[in-house]
Amino acid sequence: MKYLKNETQAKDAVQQVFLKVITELAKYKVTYFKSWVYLVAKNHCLMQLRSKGKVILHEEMPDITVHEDLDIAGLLHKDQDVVLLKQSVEELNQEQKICVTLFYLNDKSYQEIAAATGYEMMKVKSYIQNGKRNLKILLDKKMKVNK
Amino acid sequence: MDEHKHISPNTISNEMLLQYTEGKLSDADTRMVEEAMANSVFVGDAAEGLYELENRDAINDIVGDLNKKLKTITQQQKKRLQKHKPLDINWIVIAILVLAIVAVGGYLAIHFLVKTK
Repeated sequence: MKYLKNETQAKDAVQQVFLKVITELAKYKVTYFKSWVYLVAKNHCLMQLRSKGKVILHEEMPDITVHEDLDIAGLLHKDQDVVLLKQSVEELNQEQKICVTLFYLNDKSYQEIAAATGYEMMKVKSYIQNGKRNLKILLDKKMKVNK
Repeated sequence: MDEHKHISPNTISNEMLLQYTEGKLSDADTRMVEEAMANSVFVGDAAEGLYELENRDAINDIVGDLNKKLKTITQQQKKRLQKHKPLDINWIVIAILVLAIVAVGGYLAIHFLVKTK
């Protein structure tokens, strides 16, 4: 529904993706099943949209990489990590910085963040998701340099 | 929260996600769902898709209908596969053995007949 915006098309897509998963699963060795199903479903939706000549804006289509979990709460217990985390948060773009700070450090809900910032709730979700992924990349870089 | 105590952010149920989009969850459960959304693009996209759905009350019917259709399709495929199933390897081995026995038996019989003449 998120991508196709049409109930009938979304239902058809579910059926096709399900059948595709059954046939493709026998062909490949899948380590992360959930991530793989997500990619199959998303690629199917993108192909559907492309075949209908619909333009997909970059803003609407965040990175499809399913990232490893970043334990922000855990990092806050180590002094050195807190410094690196704060430095990394500062390097995020303005929207991501505000949303990540409010969500992880001030424990605000998406709705509260949306009300405080004026961003749409789904934008908040996207800023937090992308912000978290970027934080992980920045932190990994900094930790490598520190080693 | 009590209802969902056993649920971790990694296993958000459909029901919980639906209740989240309807704003029916407690603060603690809302936090859990939102953390799951931040951790997994899959959960995030699912929630976003639910928001797009006009009649969210019908979601269980939609899922039931999809399951039924998929079951029918997969059963049809299964039947088709069984129809065109290649010969069982055991039968091929048995047939080869029988042929070999007949051939050897035939050879021995001819050999014995020629000798007795």
